[in-house]
Amino acid sequence: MGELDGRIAIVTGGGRGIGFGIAQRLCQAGARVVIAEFNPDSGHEAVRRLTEQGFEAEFHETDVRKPESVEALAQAVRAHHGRIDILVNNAGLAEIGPTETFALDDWYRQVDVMYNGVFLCMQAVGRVMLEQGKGVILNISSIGGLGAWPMRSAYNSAKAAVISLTENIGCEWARRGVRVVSVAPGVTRTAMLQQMVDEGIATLERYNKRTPMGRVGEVDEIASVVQFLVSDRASYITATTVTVDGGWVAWGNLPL
Amino acid sequence: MKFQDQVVCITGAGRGIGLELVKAFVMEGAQVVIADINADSGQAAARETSGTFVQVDVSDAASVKQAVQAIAEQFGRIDVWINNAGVAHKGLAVDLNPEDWDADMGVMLSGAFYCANQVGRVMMKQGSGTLINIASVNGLLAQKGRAPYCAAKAGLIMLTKVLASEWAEHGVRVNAVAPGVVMTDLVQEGIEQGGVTEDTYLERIPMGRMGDLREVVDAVLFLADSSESSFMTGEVLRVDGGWTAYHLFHPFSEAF
Repeated sequence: MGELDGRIAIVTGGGRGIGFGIAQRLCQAGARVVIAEFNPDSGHEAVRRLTEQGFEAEFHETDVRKPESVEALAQAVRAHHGRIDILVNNAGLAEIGPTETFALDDWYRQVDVMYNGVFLCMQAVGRVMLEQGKGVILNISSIGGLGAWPMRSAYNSAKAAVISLTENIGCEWARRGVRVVSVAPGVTRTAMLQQMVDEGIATLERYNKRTPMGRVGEVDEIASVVQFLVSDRASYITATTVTVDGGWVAWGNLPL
Repeated sequence: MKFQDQVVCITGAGRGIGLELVKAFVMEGAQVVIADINADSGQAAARETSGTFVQVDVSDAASVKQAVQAIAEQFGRIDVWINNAGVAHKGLAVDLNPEDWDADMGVMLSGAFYCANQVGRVMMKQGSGTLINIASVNGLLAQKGRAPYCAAKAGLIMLTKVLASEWAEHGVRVNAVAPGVVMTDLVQEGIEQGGVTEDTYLERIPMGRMGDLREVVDAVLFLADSSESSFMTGEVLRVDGGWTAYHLFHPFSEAF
């Protein structure tokens, strides 16, 4: 018996990284998970790994940038399962570089996936939840949305927008049974992080040193907070962002 | 049971949120210490819950030192410490007596520091433990007539972040919970005494209802449980029905 038994959850970008970790954790708590992924390979692979563990999961090819794709996702899940209990807006990518030479295509892709995409998913799935009079939307933001970091004006401002959407829409829908919360992870050990380390964009030692806990986070340490927030245990928590970062943001970053 | 055999100490545990926390931790298998200045309510709470009463005046550093040493000696360890004790004088800043200010600061801010100062040593020596401060939305947003309470809670929030920064590398997590308006004896008293009316509160809360004590307790249990919140430290978890996100404009009925 899990606390999310019978719940229908959508996880965008659930094919890998934090998204897959969340999908797995929600499954362990009893939810049935729809992996909404842009990449069919990682989407199918995620479903295979989940069903192999005995969980109920399915893949729905989704481009969060496109209103018709997002609407089709919401309608398909509702038609198939009769309801949508949980939406996790996790799909993301990181376009990094100096602002003065930043390619506009990169800027638009960043904003399209991580800001517009979150709005579109909230709108389409939110309509279903409002009709139900019940539902939880959890947006994955980032500590980047809470401050400045060189070369990340696009990524961080898009994440700040996600934090603002969480507060605004969370308040707007609070009386109609739909909670909206956000989790802001710090640096987390994922394939994306490893890729950045391999490309020389990131070094783990520096991240460890910047984090009061002295290490980066593990995917399941993010997913466990997501599970709490989408569960009934968090029934009075809405329109807020929960930072999960080993103390990164709390500390003003001046060595002793 | 989530806290089997763990030693959990709660200040101001004789009534209100503190007493609810005692019951919840006992249910989860913890050995609970009820630390309270009032022997009558503290002993009554101990009888009711099978907790252990320890008398302490948190605003007195010597009393705190003695109590923490006695607890550490009796139980051999302290796994969770919750700074919950609170008092609040109400009145406009120009009307309050400086003694009232000192008393509130003494319990809610200095008291939390005195406890941290002693408990931190025990936990760092163990290399584990978690401290949770019961803050308030009043530490995040100003409220008229509540200068000492707001300032003490704001101070407690910053204390949370400093302690988290200092103790993270020693395996000790420090977080705060910021409850919104929860129906407790104190809130009920305030309404009866003709302070803020219930309708005024309800109009101001996005969810349109007050919080339940259980919802605050669940948030504290989550932060105390290192299998769920292991990468969280220095965080202020808002359990406020959207209160702190919703300060720009209200009421809902005219929000256009």
